Amino acid sequence: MLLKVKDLSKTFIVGLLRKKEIHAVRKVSFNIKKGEFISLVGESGSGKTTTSRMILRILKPSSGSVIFEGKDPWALHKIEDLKWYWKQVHGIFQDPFASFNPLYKVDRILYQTFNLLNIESDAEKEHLVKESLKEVGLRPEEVLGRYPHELSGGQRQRIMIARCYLLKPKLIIADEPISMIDASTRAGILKLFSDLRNNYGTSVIFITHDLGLAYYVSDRIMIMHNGSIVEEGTPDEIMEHPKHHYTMRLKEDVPLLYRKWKGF
Amino acid sequence: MIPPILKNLLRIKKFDISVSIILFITLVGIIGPFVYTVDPTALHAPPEVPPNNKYPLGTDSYGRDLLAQLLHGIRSSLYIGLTASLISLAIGVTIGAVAGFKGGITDDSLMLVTNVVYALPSIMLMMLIAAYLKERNPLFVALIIGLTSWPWVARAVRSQLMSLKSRDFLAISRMAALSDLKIMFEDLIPNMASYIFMAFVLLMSGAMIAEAGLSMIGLGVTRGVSLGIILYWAQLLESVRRGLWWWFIPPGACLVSLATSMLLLSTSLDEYFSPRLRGR
Ligand SMILES: Nc1ncnc2c1ncn2[C@@H]1O[C@H](COP(=O)(O)OP(=O)(O)OP(=O)(O)O)[C@@H](O)[C@H]1O
Ligand SMILES: [Mg+2]
Repeated sequence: MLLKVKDLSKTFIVGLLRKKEIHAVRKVSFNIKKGEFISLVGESGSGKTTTSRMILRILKPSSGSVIFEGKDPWALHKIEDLKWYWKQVHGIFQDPFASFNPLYKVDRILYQTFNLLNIESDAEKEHLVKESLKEVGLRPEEVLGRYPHELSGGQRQRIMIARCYLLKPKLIIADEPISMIDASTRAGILKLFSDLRNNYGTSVIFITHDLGLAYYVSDRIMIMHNGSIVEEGTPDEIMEHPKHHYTMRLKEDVPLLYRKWKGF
Repeated sequence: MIPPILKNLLRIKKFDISVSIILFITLVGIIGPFVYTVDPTALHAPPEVPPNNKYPLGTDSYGRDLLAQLLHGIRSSLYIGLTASLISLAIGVTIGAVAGFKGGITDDSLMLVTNVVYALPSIMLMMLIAAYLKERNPLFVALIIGLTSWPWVARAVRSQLMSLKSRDFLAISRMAALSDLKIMFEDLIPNMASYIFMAFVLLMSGAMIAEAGLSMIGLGVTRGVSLGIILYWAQLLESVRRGLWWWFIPPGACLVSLATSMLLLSTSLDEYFSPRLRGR
């Protein structure tokens, strides 16, 4: 098993005088195998992003555990161990605007990865960066050397995907990674994820609120509602025999287009 | 040619006015003493002469040339203000940044120190240190002011940092396993640069007022002149009651216009940068 998540919970405490607890994630448990493509589906505020940040070792869980290849990332503190973890487990954030420091050229996001990789030669680095950009359908000369505010949301999202491509981690957690990418490019990006899986055995946790898209791409779907995973199964199980009333509601929202393609 | 930020700032009237006043007085203080080469401490002019051709700003009761005093006074007041604010800034930014970045016990203990210094009546502290030193040159005065006026900077920088810390681009750098120091210098401090500059301007105006305050109670520089020292002598010899307006008005006006222009400058910077750094 590549990743084991057990009883993962996060409670935010907000308010200064009258403290209020927000249970963003409640006892979430699941496992991921090598090469598996899992979708995490749920409406806004259901706790998807919070879950992903705890796995990415960005946000400390309130309780529960994350075990990746037998190691708890929250027990890692040495810089070498952390480099290992983020080389293996990497993420794409939901908001492609906030992901870039506005003061630096976008190149920085890509060149940062060489802190995790053992590549010495500058020519090699440049070659890899350019290759990764081409891989996500961007022309290197149209994005390199530019500032984040000069690029569109879709271009920025693709740069974040290129960053993951450069690293070739064992697990990618992608939080709505293609929400701003136009339909014609989307297919190419989704193919990129499946190529990574076929060639490198990469597993993916794909976060989306679009059940139709999840049906189309995943091996397994987990439905998240109100901080808990309320249902999980293969796409067909979820679509054909939804057990939880929330899943039924989600299913009703799936655009007809997908249904036609898939014949359900 | 002109960087775009400056171009935008120059469109703000408050910014233009305050910067012009500050630049003008600063230039007068820097260049003035080279052009008007009268010794400000020499006592050989006739006493209490109103402004005339020979003594453009008149003389004081000891027969010192007041224009020479003013020019040198501006220069050393600026020097004290600059040095003191740089000292406060260095201490405040370091403490605030480390506290906000590290969190936990480091944060708690640094904030405790900060709050203690903040709660101490700093004027008392300044008086104690100043009274202890028999000989006070401008650097000492700057040190005294600088060492007591950093706490609000530390608190402000810390809270700025807390809000920057939750921004996604920080998590992106962290996932590249950049060291804390690198994240601090590449992601955090540059994003606070405009804020730190505002703090600097405010500190400087505060330090110049504090210098005058110390001088007025007789604890200013013991060698040389400053705006505060001119006012001290003017007050000691009852220039206001005796109508020697040329003695106290020029240094007072310089001090007030410098301090208020700096406040004005900082509000105009705040108006420009705050919405841009918050949202975008
Ligand atoms: N830093 C925080 N402080 C307080 N509450 C938070 C914080 N981050 C998230 N929350 C709350 O936790 C809950 C889950 O948020 P989360 O961002 O994980 O949802 P999500 O499923 O990713 O939603 P979306 O689809 O809109 O991205 C929400 O109610 C949110 O308001
Ligand atoms: Mg989210």
